[in-house]
Amino acid sequence: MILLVEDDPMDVELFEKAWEYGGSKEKICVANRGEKAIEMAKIPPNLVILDLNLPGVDGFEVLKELKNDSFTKWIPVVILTSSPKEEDCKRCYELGANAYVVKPSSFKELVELTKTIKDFWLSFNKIPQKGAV
Amino acid sequence: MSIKVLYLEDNVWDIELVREALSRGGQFEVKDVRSIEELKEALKSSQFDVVITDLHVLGVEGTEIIEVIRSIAPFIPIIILTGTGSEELALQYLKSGAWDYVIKSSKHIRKLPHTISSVLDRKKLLEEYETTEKALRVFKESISSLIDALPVGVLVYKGEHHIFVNKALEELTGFDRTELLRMPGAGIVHPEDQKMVKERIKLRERGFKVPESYEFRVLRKDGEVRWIEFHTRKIHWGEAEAYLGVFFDITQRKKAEREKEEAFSRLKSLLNEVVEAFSLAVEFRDPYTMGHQKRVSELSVAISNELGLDPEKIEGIRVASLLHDLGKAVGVPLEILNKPSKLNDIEFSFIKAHPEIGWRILKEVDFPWPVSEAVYQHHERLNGSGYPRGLKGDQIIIEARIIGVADVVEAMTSHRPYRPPLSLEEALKEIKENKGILYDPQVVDACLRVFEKGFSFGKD
Repeated sequence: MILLVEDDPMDVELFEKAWEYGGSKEKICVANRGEKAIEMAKIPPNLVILDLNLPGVDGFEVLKELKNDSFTKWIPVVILTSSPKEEDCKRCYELGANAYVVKPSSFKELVELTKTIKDFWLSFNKIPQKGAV
Repeated sequence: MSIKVLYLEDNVWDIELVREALSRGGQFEVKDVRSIEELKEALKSSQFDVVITDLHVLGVEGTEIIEVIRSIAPFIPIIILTGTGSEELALQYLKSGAWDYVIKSSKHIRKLPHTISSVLDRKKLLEEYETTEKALRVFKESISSLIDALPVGVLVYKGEHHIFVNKALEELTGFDRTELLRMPGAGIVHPEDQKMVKERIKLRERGFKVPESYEFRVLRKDGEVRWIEFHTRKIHWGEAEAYLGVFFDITQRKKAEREKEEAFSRLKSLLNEVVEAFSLAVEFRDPYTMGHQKRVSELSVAISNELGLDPEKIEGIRVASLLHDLGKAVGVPLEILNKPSKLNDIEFSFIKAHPEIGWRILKEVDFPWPVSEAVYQHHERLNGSGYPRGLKGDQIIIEARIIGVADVVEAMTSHRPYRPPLSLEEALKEIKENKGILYDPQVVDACLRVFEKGFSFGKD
């Protein structure tokens, strides 16, 4: 299961469509608030795709929570944001994000991006993570 | 402008032939010489554009003639005149440095003006090419010396391969150019930071965004560790894309930061020790209150945590509560402090002065927290019935409201000269009954929760 943390319904729909177009079959669950994302991460999902700009608890906080919890810290987190800011990128990696990518402007690019994310996720699973049981 | 032709020939008939061929158009100025010596003299004046020579002059071999010319004027075009049937030989001379040849017959010699202008054109092209080539070489050398002179390490890399390094990087790492170029990607990075650096290189290749600058350590050839601030950008390298990495040595800055942190933490622990020493000084004088300030401080901190206060604020509360009775030690006579019976009004007025005395002393200390004010106010009560100033409600700072409650609870449960200790239940009953009257209701609730969660005063 993949957890998509995104508050904009339009972006959710686009991502789900792109994910399907890209040929991925995994089920996507959506959390539209930071609090909900932290709760749903306990399931746990195989991959978290996280927006930074969220109402309430923001993406940075969610990332911090996930990476500080010994139960959820092993889930790969890909930041998918509209912010191309160097400081945001830096901060996310410092907080333990596994990858960071800026939201593309076209649907075609988004489809390509879902493939990139999937490749990354597959390669991530191949590497034995430090401390993983 | 006329073209100046130098012509070596010992056969007068041939000279006439050539002169006639070159007289048409009138653009040639021919000087003929008859011997090698004359030729050398003429060449030294370096005023000729082209040399025409017969292959056999007074028994000197053609190759030798060419060598003589080239040794004096290496760049002057040489045209050879050759008899019919010696064309093969002429080709040989072309290899040894002649530019072209013309067959010595009335039919072919007419081509001579054309041959001359053609070699002069070639010479011009060659000169242009050499100028460009030289400019490029100079440019490349300047760029290369510029990059080498940069005081920062420069590395161009593509995936796992290093393509280019500068001198500063050699100095920074202790490895020479060849070693650096042969090294696998991230090879100079400290083993403990390699995973992070390699991951970032991979993520970027996959199309993810990674920071354009970050810090890591470099392990030098001699084993020394250097801190680096690394900046990276995509560049064009020849026809392909590559990455430029710039290495800033920040070892000194890191060292200074660490020293600053150490000095700061030394100062912080020094401040703490001074506060504790002051706190102890109070209690030495008044054995009945031994450990009182320390216990009040423990409870105040527990209540503050329960209230979810900022850690920085809590530290101020901890310090203020450790010193809240400082005024008693310096301002109240021992006989009053340790009097086993009820105090009269005059004696009590001494007691009442202690928050102000504490404030007077502590206000001289530039704490980053409102320590002196908290000490001044810790006997004020919500309804204004407290002392010394009778402040009310919000006039009392949160620090003092917390210390006030913790002080009461601790004092009631301790032994005093004039009474045995009360139980915790009795003490909590007192604050519950006066919640919202004397004591801040939120602070009281937090205090009750703290005890519910199992808080107990530490024993010294």
